[in-house]
Formats: sequence, C-alpha cells, structure tokens
Amino acid sequence: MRPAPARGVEPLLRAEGLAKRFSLVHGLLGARGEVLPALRGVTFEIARGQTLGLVGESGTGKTTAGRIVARLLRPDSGRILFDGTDWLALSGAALRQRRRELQVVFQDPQNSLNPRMRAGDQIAEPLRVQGLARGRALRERVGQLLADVGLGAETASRFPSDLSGGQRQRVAIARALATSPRLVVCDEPVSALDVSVGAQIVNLLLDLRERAGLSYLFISHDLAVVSRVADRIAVFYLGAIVEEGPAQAISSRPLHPYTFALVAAATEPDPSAPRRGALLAGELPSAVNPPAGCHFHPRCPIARPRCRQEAPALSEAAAGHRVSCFYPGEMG
Amino acid sequence: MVTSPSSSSLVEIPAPLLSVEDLRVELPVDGVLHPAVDGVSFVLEAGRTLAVVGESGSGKTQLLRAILGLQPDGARVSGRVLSSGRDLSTLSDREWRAVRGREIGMVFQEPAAALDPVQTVGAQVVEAIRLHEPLSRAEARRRAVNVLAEVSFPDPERALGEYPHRLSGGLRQRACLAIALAAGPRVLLADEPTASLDATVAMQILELLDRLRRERGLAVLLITHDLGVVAKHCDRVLVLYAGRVVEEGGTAALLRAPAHPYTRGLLRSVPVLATAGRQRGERYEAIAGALEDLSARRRGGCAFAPRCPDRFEPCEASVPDLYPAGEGRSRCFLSREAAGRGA
Repeated sequence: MRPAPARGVEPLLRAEGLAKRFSLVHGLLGARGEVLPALRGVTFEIARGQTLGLVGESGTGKTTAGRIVARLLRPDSGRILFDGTDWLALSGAALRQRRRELQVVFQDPQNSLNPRMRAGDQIAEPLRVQGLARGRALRERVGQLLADVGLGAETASRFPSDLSGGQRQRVAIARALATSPRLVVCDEPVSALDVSVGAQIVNLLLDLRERAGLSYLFISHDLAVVSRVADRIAVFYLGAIVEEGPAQAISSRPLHPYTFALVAAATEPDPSAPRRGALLAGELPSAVNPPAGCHFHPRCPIARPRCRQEAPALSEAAAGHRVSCFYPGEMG
Repeated sequence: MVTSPSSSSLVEIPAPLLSVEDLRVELPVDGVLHPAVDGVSFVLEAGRTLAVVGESGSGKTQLLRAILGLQPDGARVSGRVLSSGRDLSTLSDREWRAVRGREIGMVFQEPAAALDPVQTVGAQVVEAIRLHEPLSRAEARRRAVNVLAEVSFPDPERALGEYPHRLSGGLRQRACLAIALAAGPRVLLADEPTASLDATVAMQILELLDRLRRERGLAVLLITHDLGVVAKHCDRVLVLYAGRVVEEGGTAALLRAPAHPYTRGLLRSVPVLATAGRQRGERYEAIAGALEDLSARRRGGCAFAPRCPDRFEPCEASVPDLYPAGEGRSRCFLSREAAGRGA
C-alpha cells in the first residue's frame, strides 16, 4: 500500500518497496544458499524540512535502509524518488553532481574521519571535490562551517586524535553540511558518545535543521532520542516496517506490541515511575528462517492462533498512522 | 529494631562484603603520574546494588580494575580494598587468582569478547568451577547445569555443548553470568553489562541480575551510564567525575533532588521520550564542554568548575570536600553553604 502524499506537496524523498538480501557464508567451506533478507520491501516518505526517524533493535534493517538512501548500498529491488529524480538511476557525473544534496553522518566519527587529515581539510574536501569553492573563499567557508557547529577556528588545524568524541562528531557534521545538502542521513549519530555530549549533539542537529531548513533521516536504536528529533517515526522489525506514524502518537499511543515494548524499555531516571517488567520474551529471531505468519508472534504477549498463520499487512489504523498487527492498540 | 530502608524483604542488617577505602590510582602520561581515581571510598552490602555512574574519563574502569588487583604498567595504587574484612592490597598474584571468581565475580560489557570462542559454554563454566573447587568433571558438570538453569538458559543441558558464536547476545551475557557465579562469589562487579544489548533484551538481563542478587544475597557493583537503569535497579548511587566521587546517596533521593551541578546536568541530558509533557524539537539543557584529558586536568580546584553553570570564587581555589546534602553527600561548595545555613 502507498500512503497518499499530502495534497499538492511532493515529498523530498520517497522510497518504494526497498528490498535487500545478503548471502551468508559460514566457516571456511561457506555453506551455500543461506540468504539473509535484511530488508523486505519497505516504503517510506520524508516530507520537505521534516525528519523521519527509523527505530528498531540491531539487525532489524534500519541501517540497511539508510545506506541504500545514501547510495552506499544497492537494493535488489525498489526505487527512490529524491526531489523528483529517480535517485537510484543516477550514476557517474550526474550522481557526483547531485550527491552534494544528500549527505551522511555516521555513528563513530573515529572511523568516518581520516586520522591523517586535519579537521579543516576534511571539511574542505567535499567543497573542493565538487568545485564549490577554492582559495580564500574555501577557507572562509570552512571557518563558517566550524562556527556553525560550535567549534573555534583553531580546530581547523587539529587532527582527529587531538579532538574529543563530541568535537569529532561536530567536525563530521560540518563536513556533511559543507555542500549545503537538503537531506542528511544520520546513522546513530549520538550512540558512541557520552550522555552529556550526546545531548549537545542532538541540540546542534535541532539548531541546524531550523537554520538551514534541513531534512533528516534519523536512524537510532533509541526511541527516546528519535522521539525528540523526528516528526514521524517508522519502527523496524526483521526487515520490515511494523508501525509508522506521527512521532507523538508512536511514543505516547503505540499500536504495535513491539513498539509498545520499545516504549516500555525506554527507561526514565524517575524513581517514582511505575516499574514494568520485561514485556518481551526471547530475542530477535534469525531473519534467515523467520517465523511463519506474523514475524513477531513468538515474542508477542498478545499473539493468537491467527498470528501464527497469517502475516498482517501494514495498513492505516488512524489518519497517517500505519501498523501491521491484527490487534492494534490492545497492549495500551 | 533496625529496618532496611529499601523495600526488599531482607531483615538482617547488611554486612559489607567489600569495602573500598581511599582508593587512588595514578597513571603515567608522558612519564608523569596523574590521578585517574582519586580517593574513592564505598562499601558493598549483601543483597544490595550500588551504581557507579560516570562518563568517559570518570575513572570508573580504572576503579574496577584496581578493585580486582589489575593495574596497568607503571600505575601507582594506594588505599585499601577489603573483602569481608580482609585486606586485598597485600595479596600475591597466586592469592589474587583465588579471590577473583571465588570471592568476587565479574561481568563485562561485551560478552562476545569475554567468552572463549573455541570452547563450549559448558567447558568454560566447568573450568570456572574446578579452578576453585576440587570436584570431579562429572560433579562440576552437574553444578554447571544448575548454574546455567539459574541464569535461565532455556535448555541448560544443551547449552553445555554450545559454542558462544551460536548464541544470541542475551544468551552470551547469561553464559558470562553463569561463569562469573560458578564458584559462588558473594560480590559481583558488573561493568556496563547491558550496554551492548538491545533494549528489550537488556531489560531481561537486568531483571535476572535483580533475581540473582535477591536469591544469592549478592553484593552488586553496577557500572552504568544509564540513569534509567539506576532508577529501576540500584539502591545507592556514586557519581564519579574526573576520578572523584562528586555525589553519593540513596537512589530515589539522589535522582529526585540531585545536589551536585554535574548530577543535575547529567539528569537533564538523559534522552527521555517526547510525550505530552516534553515536545519534539525541545532542546536538552546540556552541560557545556567536555571533561579534559587526564593530563590536562586542573587539580587545584573543583574539576567540574570549567563546565559548571553555578561556579563561584571558591571553586577555583580549592577542591571541595564531600558535604552532607539531603540524605547523601555532594562535593560542591554550594552544598557546604547550604549545610552551613541549615546548621
């Protein structure tokens, strides 16, 4: 099913039926034929100037979806319209030209930054490669970008090893913003940082969105962080979206039992908060041989016979709120 | 009549199973020693969980290593660690091996790294038992099955023959717990035991820890950065900053009314769900700046002063003591002033 786009406004990005399978190789001999369906046909939209959060535990496919959008990975099937362009059909010079509009911030700036390059040169690199600035204009632009992310001009001459984790992530954000993108894919941008530093980075991302009119595809395992940043949230489980809707509704009135468990697991430092037990038994099953029927049924506290046989479709339960469950909202 | 302040059903007065007194660990940086842990003291009591909360550079990892008698080369350690009253600082390497596992068990953040990939879970639990007790293989194996059942392995007999890579993250951490508890220690040190696990699985492991603590009367030291975990699973809290305890107290009181500006900032930085009261796009009241590297820290004044929104003159001049604050203590001159006014 496809959600109807808001009247007269085309979304900034629309991903349709993205599917991706990985071949698994076990041991030295490599047992053949095992295929991991990381993504089973997911469809989502990002409205202009808005943020879509992708949330779910590890191995649910959210990072794969982000990498496909960022053109770091090719899907087996599906298509992406980015600002009206067939994004996956672009190649060569045309792709290089348009890449400036869609940038990525990764989880660990330790790995995404070049350790042998000064911070200023790393921020300048995309500008140089794209031929967007040179000489004095380039230096001024780098200085402005550093200021935009809350770093002093002296940071330009530092190497990543001289910087703290938070400063490195600011440099990575400055580099992503250098080409004035319209969409930034943020893949677990605060997960490698201390709590107090992560809060600073979330604040920075919120400020930058306001100032530059950016859109984010914000990927995180942490529903609490996503709910602060996102306008809409898509919840992933075993390579599929099980619930998608307005951030407020997802975090306060979840319809899918898995989302409900994620909300319950988002512990708060409040000693008077009601103490709930673990709601889900077991762990994420192997995606290679997923359970029959609804993939979530073995862990679901409200599963019934029908759930073991039939897979529910992702369908609209309320205006703009999709869920794949035969008994939505029963756990509330 | 003494009543326990916690809601647990324990009636006896808890005895400290582990005492740490004025522990100091100095690490060499470019040939100069700098204190990574600076005068930390606490006790662990049977059936209780003490949280140690701190961010990178707070000294929590060095603290844990020092309790276990593991120091990096060139480090200087002073202060005392007492296990059931016995001073561990004078032990030989051989005596230490008898303490680790037998008196003090440990679990770490990455179960995949803590387990031996080429040995079955059963072999590793059996080894942990036979290291400390002269049991036959068959007896040790029986004991291993019991321990694996105790940490809720669905099929303990089968788990004996499983290799770690065949297990899910949650089951690997259960295997680590089984190994840690195999020789029956009364003290368990847990270093971010759920940080690498998914949220719904982390909840299961924390509930298991709670149950083991109750059933075995364990004294647990839980190192965590997650104040939500502290709120639900810990009786008391130590907050570490730059190697020093900056605040300590009972969990409920400390989280409800934190006295130290660092604790207050940390609490405001915790991501919480944006529901009715908290709106999307709302900024965190984040703490500015970051903790300096070990060698760049000022030791003359309060280490938090450069980031502190409440700093005033005394903070630059000298290091504050731990002053009474509410039911706990806070290393802040504002707490001294408040205590002075109250007296």
